[in-house]
Amino acid sequence: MTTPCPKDETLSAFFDQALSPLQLDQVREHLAGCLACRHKHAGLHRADAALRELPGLTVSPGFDGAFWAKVAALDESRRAPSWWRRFPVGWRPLLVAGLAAGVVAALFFGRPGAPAPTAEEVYLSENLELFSNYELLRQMDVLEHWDAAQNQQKQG
Amino acid sequence: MLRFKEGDQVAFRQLFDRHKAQIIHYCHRYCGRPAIAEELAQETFLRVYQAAPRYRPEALFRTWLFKIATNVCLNELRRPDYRHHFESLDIAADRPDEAPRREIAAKGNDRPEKRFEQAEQQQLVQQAMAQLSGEQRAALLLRVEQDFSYQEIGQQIGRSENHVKTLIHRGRRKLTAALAGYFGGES
Repeated sequence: MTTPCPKDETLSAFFDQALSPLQLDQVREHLAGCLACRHKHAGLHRADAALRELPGLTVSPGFDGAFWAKVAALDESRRAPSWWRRFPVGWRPLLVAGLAAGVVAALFFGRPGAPAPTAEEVYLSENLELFSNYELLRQMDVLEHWDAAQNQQKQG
Repeated sequence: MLRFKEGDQVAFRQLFDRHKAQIIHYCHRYCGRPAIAEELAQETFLRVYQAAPRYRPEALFRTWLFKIATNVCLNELRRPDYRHHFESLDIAADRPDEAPRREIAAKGNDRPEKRFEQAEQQQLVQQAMAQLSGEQRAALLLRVEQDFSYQEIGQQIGRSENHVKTLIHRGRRKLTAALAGYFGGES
């Protein structure tokens, strides 16, 4: 009487010898007496062999050149002088502190600038007294069409 | 790698020359296209080059290198314009720039029917590989072709050993299922 069949996952791990010594012995013993599991085990062997037998690939002639060109480009970008790299190392903390102080000052004391007034707003502010006189404005409405009114009168 | 970390450029060139074929091979198996495989391999070595200052020898260099290659391959898989194509051998033969670079798989088999059988089997394996998830494919390739232990594969893909065991089992199950008909149901 043989032991119960191991799970397929255990058989796969057995195939990779990735079980404890005790489990390895148990599975080995089971395989000796179980044809079905021996077939499964042989199937794993064939699957791995089939994977290994897939066509390989030779390295293309331009592979090395293309790679070293990328490395050169990377080195070049690293060497490119930036404002930070040009700043002396000893002075960098001072620069950071200065920038931080600037940001804090802007946050606490800075106010967003008001938008520039439009032409209409400027005109209104310059003639505030005039526009506050309602009666005068009513007459201005008439005066604005004074010529047309006169023409109508002449024609009439 | 430690020599390169200390500024020895020749050491990096040696590492590149020693491992490039393996990495190209791995990326090719993973993505299925020679041209893309080379791009992924170059990206892998560029990352190694950039990561040198932060390199700590916590594991074997080869384990770390394949971890980077796996990340590069998985990223390729996650791209919106994912370029993964496991092409048929017929299509590959139609592409004159890539087909000659493939090694002839029928080693020592001059008989046409044997070669045809072998090509058919390879087709089935490629199709099965294309159906695997990114992690299953990586775990299976790292185990079967690169001979890493479950523990090392766990480090490489950031999963537990038990998870790796499941990934490899599921990958093999798909492969054996694909080959079942080919081997007359024995798989």
